[in-house]
Parts: sequence; structure tokens; C-alpha cells
Amino acid sequence: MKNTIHTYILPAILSATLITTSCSHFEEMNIDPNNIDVVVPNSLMNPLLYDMGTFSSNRNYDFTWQLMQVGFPYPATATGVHRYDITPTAGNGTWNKGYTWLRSISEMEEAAINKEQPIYLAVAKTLKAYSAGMLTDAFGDMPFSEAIKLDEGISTPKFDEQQEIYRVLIEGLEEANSIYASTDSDMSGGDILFGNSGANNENISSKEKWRKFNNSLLMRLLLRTSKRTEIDSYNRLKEIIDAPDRYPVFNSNAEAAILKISGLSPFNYAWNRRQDYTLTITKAEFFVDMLNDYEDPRRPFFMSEANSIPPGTNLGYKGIPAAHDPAATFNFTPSIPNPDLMIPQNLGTVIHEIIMPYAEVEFIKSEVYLHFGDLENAEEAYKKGTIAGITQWVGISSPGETYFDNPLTAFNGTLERIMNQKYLALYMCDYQQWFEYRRTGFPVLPKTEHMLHGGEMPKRFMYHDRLSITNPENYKIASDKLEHGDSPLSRVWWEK
Amino acid sequence: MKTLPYPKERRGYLASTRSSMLKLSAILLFAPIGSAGANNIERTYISQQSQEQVSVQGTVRDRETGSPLSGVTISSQGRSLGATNESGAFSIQVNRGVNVTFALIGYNSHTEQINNGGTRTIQLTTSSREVEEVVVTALGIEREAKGLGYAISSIKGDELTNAVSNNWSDGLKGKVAGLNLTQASSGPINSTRINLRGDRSLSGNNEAMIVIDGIPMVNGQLSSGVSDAYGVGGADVPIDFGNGLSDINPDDIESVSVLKGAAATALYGSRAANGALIITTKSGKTKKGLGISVNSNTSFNDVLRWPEFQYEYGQGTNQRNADGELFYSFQPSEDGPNTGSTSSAFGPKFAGQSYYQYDPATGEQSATRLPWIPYKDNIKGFWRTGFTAMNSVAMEAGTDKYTGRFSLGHTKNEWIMPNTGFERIVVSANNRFEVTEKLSVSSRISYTNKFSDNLPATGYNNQSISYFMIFQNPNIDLDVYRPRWQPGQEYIQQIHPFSSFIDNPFIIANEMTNGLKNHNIEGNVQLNYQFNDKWDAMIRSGLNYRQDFRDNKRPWSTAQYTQGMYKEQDAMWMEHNTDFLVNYNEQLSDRIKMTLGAGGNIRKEEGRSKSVTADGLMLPNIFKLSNALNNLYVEHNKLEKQVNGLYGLANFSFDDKIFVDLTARNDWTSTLPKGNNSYFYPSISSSFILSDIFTLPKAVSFAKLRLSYAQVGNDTDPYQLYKVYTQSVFPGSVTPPGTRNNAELKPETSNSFESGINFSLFNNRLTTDVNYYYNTTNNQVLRVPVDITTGYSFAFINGGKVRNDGVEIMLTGHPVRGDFSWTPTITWAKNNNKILELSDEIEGQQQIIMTSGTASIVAVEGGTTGDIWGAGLVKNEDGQVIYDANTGHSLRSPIKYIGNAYPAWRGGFHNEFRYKNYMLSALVDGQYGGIIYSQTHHKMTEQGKLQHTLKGREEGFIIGEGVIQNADGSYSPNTKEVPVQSYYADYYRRANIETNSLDASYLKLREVRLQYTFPREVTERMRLSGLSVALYGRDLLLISKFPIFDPETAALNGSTIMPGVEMGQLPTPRTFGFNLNLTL
Repeated sequence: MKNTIHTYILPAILSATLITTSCSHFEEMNIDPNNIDVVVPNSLMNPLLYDMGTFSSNRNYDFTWQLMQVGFPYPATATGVHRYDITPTAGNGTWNKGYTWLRSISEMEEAAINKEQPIYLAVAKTLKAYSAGMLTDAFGDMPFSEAIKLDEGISTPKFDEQQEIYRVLIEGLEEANSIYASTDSDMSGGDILFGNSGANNENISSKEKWRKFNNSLLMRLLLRTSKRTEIDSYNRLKEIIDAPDRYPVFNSNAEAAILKISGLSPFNYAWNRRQDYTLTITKAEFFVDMLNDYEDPRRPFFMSEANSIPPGTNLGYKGIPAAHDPAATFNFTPSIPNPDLMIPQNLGTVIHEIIMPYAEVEFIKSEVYLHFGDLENAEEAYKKGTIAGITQWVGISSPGETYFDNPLTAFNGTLERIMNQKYLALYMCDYQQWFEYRRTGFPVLPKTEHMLHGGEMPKRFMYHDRLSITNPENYKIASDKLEHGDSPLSRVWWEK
Repeated sequence: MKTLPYPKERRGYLASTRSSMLKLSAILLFAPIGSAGANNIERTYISQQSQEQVSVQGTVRDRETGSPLSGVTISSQGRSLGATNESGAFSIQVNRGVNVTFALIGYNSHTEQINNGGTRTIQLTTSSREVEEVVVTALGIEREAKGLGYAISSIKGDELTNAVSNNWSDGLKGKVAGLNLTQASSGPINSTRINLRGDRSLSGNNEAMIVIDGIPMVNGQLSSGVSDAYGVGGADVPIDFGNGLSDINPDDIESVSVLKGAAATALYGSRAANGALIITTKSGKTKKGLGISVNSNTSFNDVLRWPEFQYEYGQGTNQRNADGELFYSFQPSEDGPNTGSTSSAFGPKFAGQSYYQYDPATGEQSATRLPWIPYKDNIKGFWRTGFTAMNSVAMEAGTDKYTGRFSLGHTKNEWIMPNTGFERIVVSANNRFEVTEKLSVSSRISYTNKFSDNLPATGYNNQSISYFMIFQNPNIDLDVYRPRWQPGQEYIQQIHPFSSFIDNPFIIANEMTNGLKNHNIEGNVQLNYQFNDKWDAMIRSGLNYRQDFRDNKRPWSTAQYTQGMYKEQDAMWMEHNTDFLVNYNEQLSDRIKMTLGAGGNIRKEEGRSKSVTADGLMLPNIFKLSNALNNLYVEHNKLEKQVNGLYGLANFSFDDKIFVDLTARNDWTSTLPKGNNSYFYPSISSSFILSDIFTLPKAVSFAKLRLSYAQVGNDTDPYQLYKVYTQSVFPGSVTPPGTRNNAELKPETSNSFESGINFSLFNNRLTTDVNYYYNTTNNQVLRVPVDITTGYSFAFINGGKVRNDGVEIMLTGHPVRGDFSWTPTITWAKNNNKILELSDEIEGQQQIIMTSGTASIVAVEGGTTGDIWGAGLVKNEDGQVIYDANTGHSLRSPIKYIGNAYPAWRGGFHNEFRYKNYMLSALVDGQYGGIIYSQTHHKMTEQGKLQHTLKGREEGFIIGEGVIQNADGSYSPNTKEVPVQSYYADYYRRANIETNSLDASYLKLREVRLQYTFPREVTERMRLSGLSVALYGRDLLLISKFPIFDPETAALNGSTIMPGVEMGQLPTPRTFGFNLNLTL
């Protein structure tokens, strides 16, 4: 018996003690030693802003260029986005990005409340309007009020109607505007978009810049709904324009939402490889000809010059027609994008990535003045917008008034003229050229018989293709509401 | 039925007698037992002294054929005395009067009392395969196979080294029914995913546990930090730095037991839910002579098989000149615009014409038109003949108190890709010391040092050579790349004159290097104490420690890194285990024997890794962190985990005819939330020796029935419970987590039922082992992709219910015996996987469980965990492909089921022929069914590089085979012509999972070995105790419809290997080798 105690029971008791004592620190052991569990709102901003700038440049280049006849892959296959071939997965990346941003924004909102930093609540609202606005313009109805709520147990959010989303976003921007105006708290600084106040010899705080961005976005959203009479966009815009103290907006390129990117890690350029930006792509004839017509100083910054075949004769700036006959041959080497604009050879060279340009604000003003028949102010805003659109790039100096001596650039009191310059100013700015085309039909793009759907401009992306598996019921409800189901040809609310 | 000698039986329930590193706590724990046995030591010592030793030598032969038997183990009182050599000879020294047992698998063992020294011939009679076999089971417990109620496959060490490859685990292929090895074709180390009886978990982790001498080993691949095999335009590439398994010196392996079912592994609990490989290393033996053995392998490798490249058309995109003819022009010329930058091969046919081409002398367009010819060696010529030398020396020695074995293994590999390969040194020592007759201490320690200047990158990205092979054009001479750098621009501007998307392959091989310095220590110390006939105890502590230093160099001017990159990674991983087991034996009656046992285990895992990246280098070609262009980026990761377990077991034997085992274990884990972190699981298994219980027909020599049931619990990885924010590359910044942690996680459980029958017929001329198993898994901890609209990309959940059931068959025959013998063995296994229920934590009838690129694995009730989904073709009721009448391209389907990555069955056929001193063996194995989505197939088709893209070249267009849908819903044949390059690009586009998924069935001539063993007369003259030479080959022939390198492939995503998806594989080497084995 003694043997049994020694050999069996004692070790068992000892080991049981050992095991239970070592179990007691298990919970402590399972606390993640690598990552933090609380955040300050400021810490979420830079990854988000950097991502927005990169995305804006990439997507404009990858997608908007083709639809809007800025450029397209060449030589390439017989289909492609410039022939209006929108694949079911074309919107997946945008969908994923947009919701990833909304996720960070919702964390920022929460942290702003927890840490009692209302200024960041305002920033969150500004950024939410930017992100959700782009998403709904690209897709239409989408999960919004129930989105980003897995922590609350919602794994299949319902889709909200675009009209409702717009209402909430606009309300949010108004609210943010008053927070920026009323709160005493300042920002912690260091945000890569506006954190470097004073750098451009301007004595406005980053808070003030955020406020201007907020109100400029408010103008964008209001104008986007200009076709919907129930919104009364033009009158509301007029109020904003007439009350610059209550609604300060961008007044210069220095105030605009333009990211300055050095290419030095982690601030890498939006393209990893120079050749990704310039090889296998050509500039489209429509875009090049417009700049040629305007004798535009942006040309050498945007593209190379074309050359004859065999080489030797410089053909100036010359593009290839978008959506051309796949069997066609072009006996010259066309203009291709100049990589120095976006990915200079030497890391450390600063480039600009446009999140929202100042020029857009002037063109909105111009359109509103034009709507109310105020041609004088419309022209002034048109000219300011045009010059800002040119000088927002690194190294391009203002051509001055002479630019408008050209009968094709002189203000002629038409919306088309405003929209053509707006189109150029929105170069490299996410999908804005496409959204504005869908709203106004400008610029007038040439049609070819090699475009699909009888040359009808696509109206939206199809929803993320995995939704039919991950959220099938709500996906079906949303698709059924669309004119042609979940198709690129169905119009969104503001386009009707 | 022969009764085994007492000591062996007693040992049956003793843990295996090997090595370990003892923790202080463990010693304290054991203290009372130590003192209890202390006064026995002296007495035993004296009694040992007085005994007289005798020498016995002789030969062991087959009683029927008289042929000598090698590898017969000789033991006395459970202690090994040695084994017979290649010619059946043995020589031992024992105490007079002891019983000595001669045992060999497939023979009845023979025991005789040694009263006198001298020479004698021992004759063994053949038995059924299993009767006397002793196998190593869970916790290192040695058991007679007869008494086991579950399936176990045992492989002897020499079966693994017959045709040895860099990774010895290759040697398991085709030899065990139900064992699957998946590799990513990732270079010289080629890490293996070992999986038994199908994927029971919906998550990626289905790997079997690996145990060496009772101590679990680190087999996690420490990720190189790149989580996606598809990484173009951003991240770096995954590199296979190997896992612990590949670093064992195969010559040290005595045997590998493959425990397939949960009943077999129930004592290991959680982590062995997917089965276990129990590796027993060779221990020392008491031998006459020096006891030194040398094993030397020299092998050469070339590429087993190439994709079906086309060399009929050159670079181009189907561009035509004014005359409508295809043309080529490097840079614009009078022939037309530049067509020399594309990676596509839809250019003109090689028909004796000439064009302006690249002139390597000037780096510009040639002054005159040069002949338009294909360079058929422009991919193959890059590869070299690989070379591997594996040498090992082992020394065994022993007295009656002490046995030891020391080994040194060295491997030097120069892989088939230039400037890649590795070197490995493994030193190990096994010692066993019998302190007294009751107390023994054994220990094993092994140190591995593995290093490499360059291991190849895998995956689809600029830095991998697979990317170059896909993009290389048929008209481009490989030699243009050889100078690497432009003259005067060394290390500043590379030569890649065609598509600048692809990097110079010689720069990839020589300058984009991935170095490794690895140190690996594993060891254990074990104490065994035999109190008396009834009580014994074991305590053991072991450690496995791995330290890696890795560096990645990326020069200037490369496509992904214009100003270069340098990264250093330090990674450490360790696990230590301490266990004890106390056993009590009792003969309850004449016929009933019982053993009770109780024990416990403490396991602790720790990992730390830190990587520092200099993204951009100030000066070219200086790879030092101080040369960083900007701030260094530091990433770190630490992890810690502990599991404590207590277990009990009871074994009953009724008349040596019926055996029943019961086990129970409870685990406490640090990784699950309080309340859910303790879980209990029992098992029962039984074995019935039908041939002893019943009188069976004479044809049946042996028959046994097995039945078992087991439940096994499992925990999860650390830090999956609470929300945290992840570090961002931007200073002072964080990003919200992409994965939702879950504070409610529960342990997963799996329930397994298994039955098997094992019988021998016709005097053991045919032995068969058939198993049927059925298991279900509940509440698996899964990291599932969730819809991004919820705010997360992934979530940890407790998953649904998955069933795996299947059949495993093993047949061995001895149709011809005698001077000439032939032993064929067939293994065959079929697994059915079915999802019974989906998790209720996530809504929906379909749940995505894994994605890679555009392919997903989607779980649907009634489906399988290997179902690949993705976009594909749209077909009408008659199965015809529907095309768009306007574009002529096939319609795009929504995401749908494409096929199953799991094969219908796998099998192997092994044959061994012996004639006198010659032995020839050959193994063929293969699988039937299963699909692979191939990124390489997509890209090479899109670019017109494969032979199947020759169709339609002459016409310049293709009319897709199928129909178009008319306005009234009827179908008419598609007549729309599509330019040839557009057709291939669209029909085989990356997102079309259907057209890029290919049949993965294959048949491989896996191993061939021809061996000659020198007769004893010769070896004696040379003063050797054994000498054999052999020629061998591995992976010599492949028959498969899979058009790329090898259908045995998968994607390496960070540290996990995703089956059913290929992302830029490297070629599989074919090996021819020479082996020399001598014993002094």
C-alpha cells in the first residue's frame, strides 16, 4: 500500500496540482502580445488616406481611362472595358475597398466617441461620405445601415436604397461642418493629407482644411443628384456658394485633397513597376485630340509623342481610337502614358495623387452659376477651375489667360465646355469622369460599332459576385429592384 | 501461437525506451519514486557482476528456403542485443542462461535459452505479417500488433532510404493506404503536407502530427512572411524554407508507425486528431566489431517532365501588316510597329523568313533582318543537372548496461535550378543506460544545421523562375540574358530587352537570393523504473527548438524593386513536452491479463519572429540593413501556448484472443476561453483473433477483427478570442483587424468509428488488411471568409459537421518463395468526404471556406470540403457551351461548382524480387480523379505558349465550339469568328476556373532499386560485416493528362499549402542514384 501511495497517488496529486496551477495563468498567456487592443482615432487615418490616394489613381487608370476614352490596353484582345465589356467581377475590387474603408471609418467614429475627440467624429463623417458616395455611385443600392455590424451579429446586411444613403451622407456632412466649426479641440496632427499645415505657406489649420474638404464633398454629392428634383440641388448649392463663411470650401490647389507621395517606403507610388503604367497601354485618340485642340500644356506630362513606322518621324501627340475594329492596324507608334507623372524613376520624387481636386469645386460653382444664368461668375469659376486643373500637377505652370484665347477653350456659356474641362481636371481621380458623364452626357464620346450593348455606356458595376453565396436573399431583393437586374446597364437612382 | 517471453510483454505497456531533457519540475515530481527504488540498485549491481558471459554467433535462416535473413532483431529481456546483417549473420554476448529472442516481421519469433557459447543456426518459420510484430503506438508505447484494435501501418527505415530524395518523407508515398502527401513543387526542400484519411477539418489545418521518440516535433512551416502564392504587383514571393520533418536524417530512422485513426491517437488528444506519424529512431545495439556503418548516396537529377511548349510561332499579338500578314519587329522598323515587348506568342510562324530582331552585341534592333527561328532550349537550357550527396556514418556500441548510437549525416544538394540548393548536417546520439535492473535512463539528442545561400522562390511573381518560364517567348535565345547587366551598368541596369515585366532569369537565380541558416535541436531524456512485476513508471521530458535566420536580396533595376530591397528575418520556434506514465499489470486469472495506466502531459509552445526590411537601397548591390534608402520596417510576432493533459488507460487481454483497450483524456488549453478550455474524450478499441477463437478452414492461417470508437478533442491557435488592431506600415498607425476573433470559441470534437479485418491465407502466401472508417467532426474552429460588407474579411467560428468515411486495403503476397522470391504489395484507399451540416454562426446555405485568387472552396450541405467553385462556362441542356452572339466569346457563368480537388482513390503497387544476393524493387503509385486549377495553364494559354493553342493560328481566328441562344430561346451553332489571341485570352481567362481546372489523375513510377549484397565470404575477407551496393531511381516516369510539370502540386500560401490550386510550380526532379552501404 505504501508503494501504491509512493508510486501512483503521490505523483498524481503532484501533477494535478502542477497542472491546475499552470492553468491559472492561461488567460494571461492568451492575451495577444503583438497587437494593441485600444486605438486612438488618429492612428487609423494614415493607412486609410494612403489607400484612398492609391486607389483613386489606380482605378482611374485601370477602368475610367477606358470607358472615358483616355487610354486603353494596346495591342490587346478584341474585347476590353473600352468596348464596354464589363465583366461580373469588374466591381469586386471597388466593393472590397469601399467597405474596408467604411470599416476603418466606423472604428474611427467609435474611437472618437470613446476618447472624446469630436473632431475625429467629423473627420469620420467626411470620409464616410467620400467612401460610401463613391460606392453607391458605382453600384446603386447597397448595404449601408446594417453594414459593418458583424460585431453586433449581422452577417447578411440588407441593402439600402441610394436615395436614403444620399440623405444620410449629406446630413452627415452638414453635421460634420458644424462640428468642425464649433469644436475647440484640434487635431493631433501628422495626417498625411492635411496634417502638414503651414507647409504651403498657408496659415490655416488642418482642421480648417478638413472642413473645406468636407464642404467641397457636400457640393459634389449635391450636384450628383442634380437630376432628382426632390433634392433641389442647385438651390442648396447656391446657398453654400453664397455663404463661404458658413461653408468654407477649397480655394486653391494647396487646400485640395491631394496626397503628396514620395515613393519612399511606406509611401510607395500607386504602381509598383514603371512598366505597369506605361507598357501595353496607349492613349486614346479622343483624349489626345482634345488636348491637342486646346494646345494644352499638360500633354508632355501626361504622355509621350507618337512616332512613325519605321521610326524617325515625330508625329506629335497621337492616340489610337478607342473601341476600334480589332482587325485594324495602325501604322505608327502611338503616344503612351508618361510614367514620370505617377512613378518617377527616382524614389523620393514627390508626385500628386488626387482624392478630390480644387478644380472640381470651381466647376461645380460654374455649373450652378450657369444654371441660374449668371454667366459672368460662371466664366470666372470656369477659368479658375481650368487653370487649377492644369497646375494641380507637379511641374506644370499656369498658361495664364492666353489659354482661353483659343476659341475651343474660351467660355461660351455651355455646360459642355465646363464639363470638358472638368473631364480633364478629373484625370487620375477615381471614377469621377465616368460618374459625371452618366449625369450630364459630357464630354461627347465617339461611338463605334465595336462597342457592346449598341454603344450604350455602362451605368454601374455588377455587385460583388460572391454576394449570391454570402448574402443571397438580400442580393436578390436588390437585383430585382434594378431596371435590368444586376446588370451594368441598369441605372442608379440619381441617373434616372 | 507462440507465447512471447515475459519481459517483452511487460515492456508492451512501457513507454518506449529513449531519450530526453528533463525539467526540474519533472524531477521533483518523480522524487518519491526515485527514493523508493534506491536500495535496489546496489543489490542488482552485485548480482550482475557474478554472472558469466558467453559469445554466440551464427546465421539466421528461413526454415523453408534456407535463405539467410537480414534485419532479424535479437533481444533478451526486452533489451536489444543487435540484429543480423545483410547475410543473416549475427554475433552477440549474453549472460549464460538467459533467454534470447530472434524476431523478424513476417516470421514467428524464436526464443532459446543460451547455456553455452558457440556457433549456431537459427531457423525461423514464416508467420502472418502481424502476429509477432511489435509496433510503436501513441506516447511511444510498444505494443504487439495483434492486440491493437485500430489500423496501424509500420514502415521500416530501409524502406524509406531505398530511393532516397532530399525530403525523406517522399519515401512514404504509395506505401501506406490512406496517407496523402501534398507538396507545392517548391524546390529542393519541397515541404510536405501529410494528411491521413481525407481532410476532416473545413479549415486548412489537416496535417498529421509528427512524433519522434515520443516527443512531438515542430512541423509548422514558419512562413516566409508572404501569404499569397499569387503576388504580382505588390508583395514578394513565398519561399519554402522547409519544415522540421524534412530535416531528419533518414538513416537514423528505425521505423515509422502511421497511426491513422482517432482511436490510435486518442492518447495524444487534440493535436493528433488528424492522425500521427510516430518515428522511432535507431538505438544502439550490443555488437561485436566496431559497429560502424556507412551509408552513402550519390544522386543526379534532371527534370521529370516539361509542359507541352509550342515552338512553331513566335512573339506577337496577332498583329498584321498592311498586307494582312503576321510580322515581327523588335522596336519599330520598316516592317511595322514594335512587337518585341509582348509576352504573347501569337506572332508569325517560323517559316524560314527574317525580321529585325534584338542584337545582343548592341542591345538594339539588328542592323539587318535576322532569321526567324525558334530556340527550343530557351527554357530547358536554363536548368542544370542536379546533384545530391547524402552520406552518413553511424556507430553503435554497447555493454550489457549501456548501449549507444551516434550518427553523423551530411547532405549536400545542388538543385536543378542554377545557384540553388542547400547543405545539411545532422548529428545525433541515442544513449541508454541501465542504472540498475529496475532503473534505466535513455536519451536522444539531435542537432541539425541546415544552410543555403539560395532557395528558389515559388509562386506567380517576378522573383520566381516559374514566372520567367511562363513569360519566355519561343523566338528568344536564352543566351541574350546571360550577361545579366548592361555593359557599364553592372548592378544598375539589367538586361531584359523584351518584356520588362519579366526579370532576367540569371539575375533571379544568382542575385535575387533567399538565404537560410537554420539550427534545430531536439532531444529528450527518459527515465523508466520497474518497481516490481506489477508496477512500472516512466517520466520523460523533451524539447524541440528551431532557429532560422533568413535573408532576401533583391537587386536594383528589378521589376518589383526599382531600387532593390533587403530583408532579414529571425525566427524561433520551440515546443517542450513533459510526460509521465505509471502502469500497473495484473494477471486477473489464468486467462485474463490487465494493465492500468495513468499519466499526464504538459506541453508548451513558444514562437518569436522578427523581420526587418530595407525597402530600397541607397547603393546598388550592397545588401546590408545600413544601406537602406529610408526607415527600416520592422515586423514582429510572438506566440505562446500551453496545453495540460491528464490521461488514463486500461488494457485487457482475454486468453490472448480478445483484447480491449480503453483510454480517456482531459485537456486544458490556453487558447480557448475560460469555460470552454477544458475538454474530455474517451476511446475504446478491441481486437478479436478469429483464427484462435474459432476453428477456421486450413487455408486461413490467421484472422483478426478490429473494432474501435474514439472521440478526440482539439483546441486552436493562440490569440483568436479578442479583438486587436494590427500594426500598419505607417508609423504610429494601425489597421482594424480583417479577421473577427471570437471569444465564444468551443473545442472541436471528432468521433470516429473504425472496423478492420486482417487475415492471412494459404500458409501466409497472401495477407490482407482491410479497414473501414467513419468519422464526423463537429465544432471545428474555422477561419472562414465572410462578406466584406459585414466589416470583416474573415471570422473565426465553430464550424459545422463533416463526415469522412472510407476504405483502405493492403494486400501482400508471397507467390514465389525460395532462392527466387517475389513479394508484391498493393495499397489502395478511397475516402468520401461530406459536409453534413453548416455552421449556424454564419447565415446562408453556402459558406466559402478558402480562397486563392479567383478560385474558392465553398461548403454546401451535402458537398465536400474540397469543392472548388468559381466562374465558368454557361451550357445549355445538351451540355453545349453557349457563346455571346455579339462578341463570339463564351458566356460567363456566375460562381458555380466546378469540381472536386480530392481524388476518387489513390493506390500503390510495390514489387520486390530477390534472387540470391540480388534485390530489385519497384513502386508505382497514382491517383484517379481530382482536379487542379492551374494558374500556369491559364497564363501560358493566354500567351499562346502551349501546344493546344496552335489551333486557329493559320486562320488567325477561332469559332468557339458551341451554340448561341436565339431570341426565341432556341439554340443555333456559334459562327462568330474571334481573333485567335482574344479567344484564348477570354476562354482561358484567369477567372474562368472551369477551363483552367484540369484532371489531376496520374501514375508515377515512383521508385526503382537494384541492390547487390556481397556474400559473407567476400565481406569477411575485406574485414567488413556487411557490404551492399545499389542503383536507384525516383520519380522516373509520369503518366498524366495534366499539361504542366506535375499534377502532384498545390499552392504555397505563406505557411499553408492549399491543395487543388497550382500557382507557378517549379519542375519536379527525376533522380538517378547510387548507394553504398557498409558495416564494419
